[in-house]
Amino acid sequence: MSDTLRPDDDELRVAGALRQLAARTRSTRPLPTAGQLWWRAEVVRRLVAKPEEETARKLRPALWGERAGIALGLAVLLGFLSLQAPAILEPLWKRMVLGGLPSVALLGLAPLAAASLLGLLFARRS
Amino acid sequence: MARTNLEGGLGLGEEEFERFYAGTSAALWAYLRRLGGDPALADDILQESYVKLLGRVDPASEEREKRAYLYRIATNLLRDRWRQERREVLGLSSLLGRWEERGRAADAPLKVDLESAFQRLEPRERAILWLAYVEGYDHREIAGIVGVKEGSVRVLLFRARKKAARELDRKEVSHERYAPTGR
Repeated sequence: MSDTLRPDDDELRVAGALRQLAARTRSTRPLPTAGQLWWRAEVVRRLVAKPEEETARKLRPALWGERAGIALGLAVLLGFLSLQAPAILEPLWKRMVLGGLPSVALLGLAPLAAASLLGLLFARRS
Repeated sequence: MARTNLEGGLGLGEEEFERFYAGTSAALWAYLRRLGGDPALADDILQESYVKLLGRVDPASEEREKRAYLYRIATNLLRDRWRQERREVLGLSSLLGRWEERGRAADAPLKVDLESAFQRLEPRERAILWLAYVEGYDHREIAGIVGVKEGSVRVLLFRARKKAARELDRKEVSHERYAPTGR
């Protein structure tokens, strides 16, 4: 019979066979009830949700402490730099006059390196 | 595909879920049974799929979307189980052989040409054919469920259909015997 079918008939034949197979495929054992599955999902949800909330609550003081520590460190650094600016800038100026540009350029890179370091630190924390 | 609901309560209320389950569970079991070849595996994956669906599905999504999302979850879970078993056992070929044996032993009345012809197809081919011709999903939906591009579904479906037709010919499953039936 299949020899006389047009190529398009393959689709009808395969679809028919599959639907036939589907109609005959039934579980011999009873499936769990909807209520059982719903409650199982609810229990899973509560078990998963609770530890996440607790972890977040426990970590909150540590996160605030970390941020406060970074802010304090920055404040101390800025204070120190503002107080010591004349003492730092004077030898820098002398060096520029006496030592030339390369050494000044190297000194100029120091704040850039410090800023990069701080940036990396913040990125890692976040 | 259905949007997901990761926060708050379950995606469906108990009554709404009962209705959804009544309308989908038998068909999903049949899909899993024929795709995986093992009734016990179908039982496991079915339960796991609904539990996952309840935790993730957006209640505002449409019924058809929810259904497609359920099939996507089930297909992924089955695929994960295959991968896990493939790592544990020797390889895919021996695994597929084991499934066929398990399926035949556990479901003796279906030990017929049609079943064995279907089992000889690749798992993805079985999934695509079933979703297209039993569940009536379109190419876009099948792409979402199986995890391939929409354009690929057309080609894969064509190839799978030809292969299935050849298998049916080989097993001499006649057109009269398995004539198309109304859906």
